[in-house]
Amino acid sequence: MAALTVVMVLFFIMALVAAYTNRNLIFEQRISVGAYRAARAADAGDAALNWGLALLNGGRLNSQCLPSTNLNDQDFRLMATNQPAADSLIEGGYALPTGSLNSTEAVSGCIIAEGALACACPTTTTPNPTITAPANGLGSAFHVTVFLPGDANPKPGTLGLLGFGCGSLGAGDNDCSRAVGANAKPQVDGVGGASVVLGLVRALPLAPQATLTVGGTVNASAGSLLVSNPDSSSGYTVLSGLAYTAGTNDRFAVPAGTAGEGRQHDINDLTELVGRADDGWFRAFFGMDRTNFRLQPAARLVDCSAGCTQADVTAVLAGYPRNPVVLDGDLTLTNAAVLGSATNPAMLVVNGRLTIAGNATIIGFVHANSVAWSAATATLSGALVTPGDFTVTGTARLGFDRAAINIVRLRYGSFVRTTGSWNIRDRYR
Amino acid sequence: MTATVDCRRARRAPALSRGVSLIEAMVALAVMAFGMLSLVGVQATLRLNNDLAKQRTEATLIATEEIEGLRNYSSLLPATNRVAWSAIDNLTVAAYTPPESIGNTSYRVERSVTTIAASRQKIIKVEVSWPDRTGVTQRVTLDAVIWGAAPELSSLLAVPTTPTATNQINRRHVSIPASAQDVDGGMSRFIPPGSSAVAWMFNSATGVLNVCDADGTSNCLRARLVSGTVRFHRPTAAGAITAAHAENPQGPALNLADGPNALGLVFPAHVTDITRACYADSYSGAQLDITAVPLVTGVKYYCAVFSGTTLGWGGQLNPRLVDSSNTLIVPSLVASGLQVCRYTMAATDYTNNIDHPKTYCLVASNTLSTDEQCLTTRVTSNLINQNFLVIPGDRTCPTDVAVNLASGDLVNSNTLPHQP
Repeated sequence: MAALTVVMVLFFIMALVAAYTNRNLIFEQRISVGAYRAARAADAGDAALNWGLALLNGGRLNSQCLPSTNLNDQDFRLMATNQPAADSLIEGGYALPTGSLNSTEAVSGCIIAEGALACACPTTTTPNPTITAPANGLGSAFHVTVFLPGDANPKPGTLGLLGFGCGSLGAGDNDCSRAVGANAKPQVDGVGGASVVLGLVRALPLAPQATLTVGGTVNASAGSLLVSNPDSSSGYTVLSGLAYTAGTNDRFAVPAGTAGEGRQHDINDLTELVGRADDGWFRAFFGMDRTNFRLQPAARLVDCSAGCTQADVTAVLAGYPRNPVVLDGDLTLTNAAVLGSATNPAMLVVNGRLTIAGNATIIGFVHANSVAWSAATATLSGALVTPGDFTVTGTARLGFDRAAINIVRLRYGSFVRTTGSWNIRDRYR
Repeated sequence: MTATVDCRRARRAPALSRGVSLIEAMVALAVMAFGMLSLVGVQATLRLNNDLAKQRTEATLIATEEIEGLRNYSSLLPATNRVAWSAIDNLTVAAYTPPESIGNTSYRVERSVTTIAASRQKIIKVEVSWPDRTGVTQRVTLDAVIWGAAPELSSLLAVPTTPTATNQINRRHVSIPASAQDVDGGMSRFIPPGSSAVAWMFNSATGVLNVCDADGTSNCLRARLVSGTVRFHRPTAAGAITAAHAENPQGPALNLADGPNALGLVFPAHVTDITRACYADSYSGAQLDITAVPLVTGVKYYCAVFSGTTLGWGGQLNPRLVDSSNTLIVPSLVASGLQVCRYTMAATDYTNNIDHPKTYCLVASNTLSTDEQCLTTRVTSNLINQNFLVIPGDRTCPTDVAVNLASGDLVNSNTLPHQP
């Protein structure tokens, strides 16, 4: 018995020695698995940032974060931020609707499985949505939330995006797709996070000062031109590079109490801009050339090579009310359409001729290569800009809308990463 | 001798115990043998798993490298010698061996891409598989989302916007008075009416104002411009003053006090760091006569407001009317007196600064008093078209509705009481 005991002790010692000598093998296996889980979680975290950027530059979303044309749905920017008016707070700064605490922030999240996303976005009634996990439980998961970079003071056009990824979804209240309170980590086998600071490349960095800015001629000889600019910060009605031919009943109104009509014509600087080879006119408003403007992620492109009508514009604006809409071709408004609203003014860039023949109501900013206005009661509130000619054969009714133009100037455009802002970040630190 | 033999016999184990040591040794050997076998098995499994671990690590790195390479796209659309986001597509590499690999296998790298064109997302699954030492196929999978945006857009964030003729007036910031003169260095020089020995120097691009000595360079002080027109509608007949009157006042005008006191600036007692210099057009008595043609119906004014801090300024800006003998007229609500209304599209006294509030905002140190209520912060930029309407003291400041383009109403000539 003693010999057996001794042998067993010896064997145990031998087993320990064997385990000790092979500890590196065991360690390496654990490292390998850990590295794989970490890589899955890190990629999910980075996917969250990319997904968040795509949503920030997109349109209306439903509760599954899918494109929506339901007017009750908001876009991701409005879901995630408060956007104070231009005249309050810091111009162009953002605020967070629910603060920056983990327990209260609005969070959107997804599962990626087999090359497909299954997502959930917060709504007014469901601020912290859940995602149904795939039956096999497989797939990376992530959530994303918006923060104010730097400190509590908003910075113009700046947001932070925090992505948090997991190697798997997890379960229960702490699953990876949503915010979890009080620093509780999701119960998953790998977590990783990253953040980036985003800047808004404004779609209209330099707003016009006049209601109607024309590079060519303004010809109302066969109609009437009614232009108002009640905005005390600008007060100009018409600026044109070439001549103005008066109509039968033209009227120009400036801020009450200010004398004059607020118009200037034959402005050489405008015609020079139109004639510049580097797309100078377009750059003057949009800060980039036409090609890059079309390529920016927030822009919605509409093929109008065969001509577009108000129906095409309405269809796009239904899903993307706060995105720049680029129409490649002519646009003819023949019916009584309403394009844009006070809260969601339209931004239309018509790479062709704009014909307003129907009694449309346009609220927002419109740029067209040339404009022909034959409608009798159509109105445009905001600003209209063309490098070509503006011809009126009906009654053109235009008014400057500072609030609408400020929304377009300060809120429309593409969010992109600021250089060097990517950081590994553990939100549960 | 016999005793010794007996002793040996006495120590001999009983018959039943004979061979136990041998059995013990055999059992121990058997246990040891099984143990050794299992240890050898563990060792073999460890070596296999360690090989697999090395391969899995290498496969994870291959997958990570694959995704990082895609994330590092340098153009949105296809371009020569550049990785383009739009070119990211399905790809299979059947037998990939990493450079300088010390592995004992080759990997199959399979990239599956699902494109969501509307939101420029590419959902990417990278699967790296390989046969392990036993011939069983192993795999790792990484999932990613890569969003498409032209990388040069980020650089645009650092490019300042340059004003042009499309958003300037006369190649200058819109707030600079039209009568200012261009001078060297991108500056505009404005001499306020009725002033002496001062020059208001504007940055033509930004409208930033410095009030200097006449040479335009000495003793310059940073200021903010406030300008507008004081309009007069002083009918002799009874009757309400309407929005139409406010839209087209009939005069006759009165002069304002000599500069720099053409307007007064009133603020709470605790504010001590704000001063102003206000000038206005002035007219001879004949020009202000009700029979003059054309009758002067308004007086333009220009104020430079100085603030001791970079926060800006606030307070109530009030026209200082004078009669023909240059005596100050104190606004009153009696029939023989005059009251001052201000043009504003707002419905209340407290509105954004550019909408001509009764009191420009003075919110400081989060202390609000009644006179300081406002919707914004202090005034930090130039304000133009801050207009007033002077009417008889016993009338009511006329109100108006918002502009209605469809009906042809182009002007909102709404006013609110300002003084007294």
